[in-house]
Amino acid sequence: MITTYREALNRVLATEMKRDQRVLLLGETVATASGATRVTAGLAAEFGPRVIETPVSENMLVGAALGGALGGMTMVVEVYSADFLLAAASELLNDIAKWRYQHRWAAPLRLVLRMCSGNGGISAGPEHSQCIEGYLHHAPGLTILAPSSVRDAAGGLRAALRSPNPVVFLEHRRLYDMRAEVTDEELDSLEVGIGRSAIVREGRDVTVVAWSWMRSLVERAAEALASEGVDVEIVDPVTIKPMDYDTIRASVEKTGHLLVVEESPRAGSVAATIVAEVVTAGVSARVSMLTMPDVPHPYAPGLEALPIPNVDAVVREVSRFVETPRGEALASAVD
Amino acid sequence: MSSGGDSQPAVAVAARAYEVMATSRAIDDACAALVAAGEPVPNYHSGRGQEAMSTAIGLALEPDDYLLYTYRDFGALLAKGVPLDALVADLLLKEAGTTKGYGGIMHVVAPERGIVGRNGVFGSRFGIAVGLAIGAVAQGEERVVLCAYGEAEGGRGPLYEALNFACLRSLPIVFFAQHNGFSISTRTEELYAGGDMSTMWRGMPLPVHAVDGNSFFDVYDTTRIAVDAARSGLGPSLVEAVTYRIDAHIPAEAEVFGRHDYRSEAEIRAWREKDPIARLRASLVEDGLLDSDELDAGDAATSERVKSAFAVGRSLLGPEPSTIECFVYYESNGGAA
Repeated sequence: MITTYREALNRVLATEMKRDQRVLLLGETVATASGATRVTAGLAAEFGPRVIETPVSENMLVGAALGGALGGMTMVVEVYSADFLLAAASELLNDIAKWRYQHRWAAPLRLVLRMCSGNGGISAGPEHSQCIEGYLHHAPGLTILAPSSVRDAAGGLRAALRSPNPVVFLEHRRLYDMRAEVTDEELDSLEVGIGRSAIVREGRDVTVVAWSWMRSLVERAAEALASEGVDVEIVDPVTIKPMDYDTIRASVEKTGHLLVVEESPRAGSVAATIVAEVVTAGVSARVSMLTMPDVPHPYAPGLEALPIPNVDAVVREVSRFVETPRGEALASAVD
Repeated sequence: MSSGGDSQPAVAVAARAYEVMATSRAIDDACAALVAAGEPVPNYHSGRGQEAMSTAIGLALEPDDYLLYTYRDFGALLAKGVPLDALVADLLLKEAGTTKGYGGIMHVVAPERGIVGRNGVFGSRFGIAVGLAIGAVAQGEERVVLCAYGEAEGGRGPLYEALNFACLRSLPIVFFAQHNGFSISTRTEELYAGGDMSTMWRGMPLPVHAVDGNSFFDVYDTTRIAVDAARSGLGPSLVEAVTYRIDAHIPAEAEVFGRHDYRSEAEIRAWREKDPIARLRASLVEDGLLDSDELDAGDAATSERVKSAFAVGRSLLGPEPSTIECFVYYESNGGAA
């Protein structure tokens, strides 16, 4: 059966709400419409008062996610856009992320903040286009998932709903219509392992780490590079935090080259952290990052795509890269 | 005094209230003594003068009702059943505290008493209160959430968001404004249009009560009305109790803030004369509920108990360095280090 990323999310929400009465869904327009991205379609009709529509009140919403979880519920909060979560940064970073630590809270804290993120190519500008994992991955205590495929959308959301830890669940705007052949049985049982990276394409020559929409670009780049005889290994972390650096390091030890591709400004990026974790572990490799420059997303249609990594840029960077044998790269790094 | 029809429960409540208020005062005395002796009590914020208000909200709740407390609420925490020893260990950041030395008085937690912790940055408790209330309603529980807050926290926008949503959904929340005169050094009337913490909300569709925060029974009776309304499905209320912070914002106020002449000695003296503990004591004696000898004996026992709790508390250990990386995420072993 052909299923979209959006349908997979919807089905997991419905099956998990059916399975567990404690799951509540809150957000703007989640009952009167289908939420920001049509993921909550049909849920209000099926689950009535457990689907709770709210005003545009992000502080209340994100705070309520914590309050409900402290009371033993599983709170699913749809934030209308990832950018808007920043309005509730204190609730997220000062309260949710640290509650367990400061209170030595032993019980599960089940809450999932799910939202659309990333540039949609619709001239939505710098406040409706951001990937926010770079802002958030600094915070101890958070779990961040950014699924890149239909299967990981389903398996990731199920894992998030069943996790004893608070999860920020990032759905990319360009992925909602992604399609895959998945049976209902699969959809109803998929569950990713939180904190485990996946090698989604095996290769010898270069390790490329990418997630969310960037993984799709890298897969296309890998096809192009294969025809030039460059064998790309792709690692999709799936869980952005806590990240499985072991899988990445093992892959880089094999290939000797690491490129991290991220749809986000460069300073303090997730990519920079991955590179640092590999380099400081003493892995002998040539490393690089392909990110946005440190600029906001421009609105204008002619400019919008320019700062964001694309397939050609990935191909160019990998080609430049693999021409340098690893010993030489290290030597030049020392210069 | 009022409170309830028959006098027996009123006597029990009053006796318990007096003991809790005296205990809260003794905690302040003990902390002040430590600070004066050069031994800092980190994050200690005095509750002196606010004991009636604080104790009344704790006693007005059922054991499993939720309480979001403020850091001056020793009375509310004790009244809710947090043991004195644990509270003292929290004040001293010891491993025997409710947060094992990691949150101290800023994050007292006792889930079995409806105390789920405390937010350390002002503003988020209002959303947390909404979430607790939504969860209680969804599970068919008749639990009430009492969300206490001071001048500083009430300045944040999330209060508006939560009030609005609580009214929309008739959530069982009592918003309880603790008007103690100041946010650090800024007067209440300089912070709130309308001059106090409740006038501005009178346009909202919820009962708004203003009470004398130095009268235990005024606060207790009004809070009970609000709690009962919430429990019976009538939705949220807002209560403002007006009292006065006798002590400095924090003991090191003068050193930290430099200039601290934001109030006069005469003003402090005038409020000392309205002392809520002396006031409750006088009414208990006058009404013949307890006599002076009983009360004196109780005071001596309370003072002894608190002194000994601090003596024991100071000898306890702080958290083990080996636990510093525990409880960042869920511990499947329950957190046994």
